[in-house]
Amino acid sequence: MLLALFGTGALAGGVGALLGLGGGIFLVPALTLLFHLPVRMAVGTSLVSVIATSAGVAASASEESGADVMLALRLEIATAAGAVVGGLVAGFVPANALAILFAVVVFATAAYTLAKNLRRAGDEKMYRRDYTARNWVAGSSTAGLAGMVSGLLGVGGGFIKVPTMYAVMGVPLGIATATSNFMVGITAAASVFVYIGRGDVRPLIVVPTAAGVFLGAVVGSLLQSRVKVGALRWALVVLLLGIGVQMLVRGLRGGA
Amino acid sequence: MTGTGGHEDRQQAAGIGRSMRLVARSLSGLALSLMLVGLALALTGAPRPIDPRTLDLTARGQRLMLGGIIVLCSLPGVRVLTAGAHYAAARNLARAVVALVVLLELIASIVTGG
Repeated sequence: MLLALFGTGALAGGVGALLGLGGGIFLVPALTLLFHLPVRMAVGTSLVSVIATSAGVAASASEESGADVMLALRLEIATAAGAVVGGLVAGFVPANALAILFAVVVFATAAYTLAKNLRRAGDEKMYRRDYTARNWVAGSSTAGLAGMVSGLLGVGGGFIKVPTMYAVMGVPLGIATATSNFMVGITAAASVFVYIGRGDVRPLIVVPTAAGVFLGAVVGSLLQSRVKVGALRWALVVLLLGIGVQMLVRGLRGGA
Repeated sequence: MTGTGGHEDRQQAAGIGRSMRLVARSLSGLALSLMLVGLALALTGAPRPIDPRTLDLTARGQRLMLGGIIVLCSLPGVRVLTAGAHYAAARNLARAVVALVVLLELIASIVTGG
């Protein structure tokens, strides 16, 4: 059982790191559908795993990754608040509704990945520094929503933050992605203590899973530059659609 | 864009940043050690077969693992402070974020009774 949790975590973390997604989008459905854990427990486990990955893989200086730390910290005020609210709300939302909401988020992530696949890579302006972030009110509001989704469902929320920073706030895409990755661990840390307080973080599940995710993420990030992920990205869209349907069915049947 | 002051400020900020990164690495090592020792204790003291839904662990092992998880979960806070130390103008924002999170956690613990 523990080895299975470790292996699932490693797979989720590895695929997530390879494709630039958080492991949570795979981990929560895996723990719910394969290990039959309650959704809230799966979300708590996912949040700790997100923090482990963020603390381990991205421990180097943030500016080296291209993240705009000033922008991240400003948005994090709204995101952290949203995450705590999301964590609190999760305690009152029925498990079925959480599963259906998760399915919606998985479909949105599939659409976001599809849009990324269709976009031509190698845009030289992805990391340009001559920009000024604008529309702070709209940006902060949406960041708060992303935080709420993260606290509620245990995912990073990059599929909300990155398009908002890029399209609404005028931040170059590469910097928006790096900034979103920088924010993920901090957002998860804001809501995870709500789950710990509620007893949804079970050490025997969390420790092997988080260790697996951490190892998978390290290996995935090492492989990222050596493996051609083009075809894998298209497979991911199909996989996400499958996961979304499974979670939707589970939520509608009331078995979550 | 960074809001950083002069050369001395930058040097000082870089020094603080290095120290904070060292603290973060030490804390992550501590978290990992606590979790692994706790897991070993829990496994040697728990009945077989282990069902994670109906946990029956040794209290010490569970406490150590939970301690490791809490140390791990406090690391992003250290990261915020590290980032704040790099950017003089961001320091106050970092403090604001930390203060807000602590306040919200307090409210959350009151609401959930944790």
